[in-house]
Formats: sequence, C-alpha cells, structure tokens
Amino acid sequence: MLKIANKTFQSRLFTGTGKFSNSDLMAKAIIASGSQLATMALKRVDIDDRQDNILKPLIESSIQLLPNTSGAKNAQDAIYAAHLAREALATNWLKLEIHPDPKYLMPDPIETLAAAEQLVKDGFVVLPYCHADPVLCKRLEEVGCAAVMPLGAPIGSNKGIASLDFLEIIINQAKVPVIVDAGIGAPSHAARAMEIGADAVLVNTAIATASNPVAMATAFKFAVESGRIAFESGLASQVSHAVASSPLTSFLEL
Amino acid sequence: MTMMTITLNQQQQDVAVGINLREIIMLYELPEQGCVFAINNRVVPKSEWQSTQLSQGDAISLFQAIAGG
Repeated sequence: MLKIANKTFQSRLFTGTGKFSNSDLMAKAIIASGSQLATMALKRVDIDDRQDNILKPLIESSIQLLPNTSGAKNAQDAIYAAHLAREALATNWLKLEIHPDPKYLMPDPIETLAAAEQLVKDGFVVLPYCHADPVLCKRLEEVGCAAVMPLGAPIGSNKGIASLDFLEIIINQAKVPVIVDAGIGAPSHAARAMEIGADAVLVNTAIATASNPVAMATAFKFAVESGRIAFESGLASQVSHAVASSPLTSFLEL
Repeated sequence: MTMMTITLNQQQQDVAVGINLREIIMLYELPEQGCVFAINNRVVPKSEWQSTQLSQGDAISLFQAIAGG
C-alpha cells in the first residue's frame, strides 16, 4: 500500500479536477478512477462572475484534497498561496508548483526548492511538481518533502513518459514516494510509469478531456493497477536477440 | 442601511457599515468551505471572520478553491 506522510492510499492513481466540462462529470470520473487524492487550485473571486461551487462534492467526500500553487511565479507567491490554501481547505497537504513561463509551464527548480524548504518548516506536507531531475528530486527529499512529483512531459501535452530514463534514476534513488505528474496522455503511459516502479501517477487532462471521461477514468484505473502488479512481479529482462519460447524440435527434418 | 465602500480584489464594492468577513461571504452567496480572505497579504483564519469588521476604504482579498490539476 502507498503511504505518503501519515496517510495510506489503496489507489495509486491520483487525479486532477481541471478541464472537466461540469462538476457532475468530474465527480463521476473521479469515483470511477478509484482515486483517493484529487488536486485543486485557488483563484481570486470575481464578484461579478462568481463560479459555481464545483468542488462541493469533493470537499464533502473523504478524498484527500491536494491544493496546488498554480499561478505562483516564485517562491514568495507559492508560500502565500500555500497558506491561503491551507486555510481555505483545512488541509496542510500541498502540491507545490512554480512555473513562471506559461508556454511550457516548466517548473522553476530554484524557486521550488526554496519554497519547499520553507513550507516544510511551516508544517506543510509538501509534494513538489518538478522536472525529472534526479539531483533536484534528491534535494527536495532532503529538505523534507513528503514525495516528489517529477514530470513525464509538459503539462497537458499528453506526450507520455518522455523523461523515462531520468525517472528510472529518480525512482532508483528515492526514499520518498515518486509520483509521475504531467504529460500522461494514455493509460499505456500510466502503465509504463508504474512498470518502472513509480509509486503513483497523477492524471488530469487525459481523463477530463476524453470523449467519455468516466470510461477513460476506468481505463486509467486498470492501467495503473496492471502496471503496479507488473512492477511487483519483476519484469523479465530484455535481450537483443530471439530466445525461443517453444522447444525447437526439428520435427520436419528426418 | 448606511453604506460604505471597500475594495475587494481590487474592485470597489458598496457594503453595509460595520460588515464583517463572515457577512461578506453570505452577501455574495459564496461557500464558506473553500474560501479564504487575506488582508495586506496576511491570511485571515476562519475563526476570525466574525470578529473582523471592515471600515470605509479597507482593501481585502478573497480567494476560492476551484478545479485544477
């Protein structure tokens, strides 16, 4: 079973709540996914354009809420957002994300590490979104992050596990759970991440923007379970030549 | 009712004199859970909403949890 900080999770599929066409569909998809942790964001209220309380079903459920610091461009912004989120949602869990450039949304490693160090001191359970950088992940672990969330590919790109070789190093070195976040576009990508030993994956766009998000959530649930079982079962090693699976009986030869 | 002007998220709003933060949430029909105020970048704990009365010209920030990845 997966354990992060003081909490255990049966499901290794974490979900994002963005980009769903409505809250009913979001709730149904998250239930179908089996996910026990869902991310959310924080925004300034526009009094003239108030939004429906689409997170009501989640806030009332037993799902672990993981507010993010999306919109933060530096450590100072992120720390402020974290304290706001803790008060708004009554949780000290935090997805720390700092991406100053909107085109690629690459996480800023220097600001992220600085913010992580402070937020751990402030009593947060910090899960930082970061690049698939083994050195950075180790540093984030050393300052007390409860897990690390390296990217597979740019956020929302659906490109899959482009960072595979580096994720393998991160997983190999990590003493905290590794959650592959961002870029997972298909159940097969999620399965791949789990097969190499990721502790969990975080999926949003691929479920939320599918033609049928509820069915896609189910597909991801199975993919994550499959990938995990495969990892635990010990994948057979690769070789560059054929190794016969059947006995090569020469029955055609006399 | 005597009114006063405050600034909420950089927008001027006319509200009743002596309104507190809890009443702001009710006034704009916002959910109590998922909302948070800040004054001068200091987060106001929910336990202080009731006792935090606003004065003419006060500037406050109000945030709400929304969907996100």
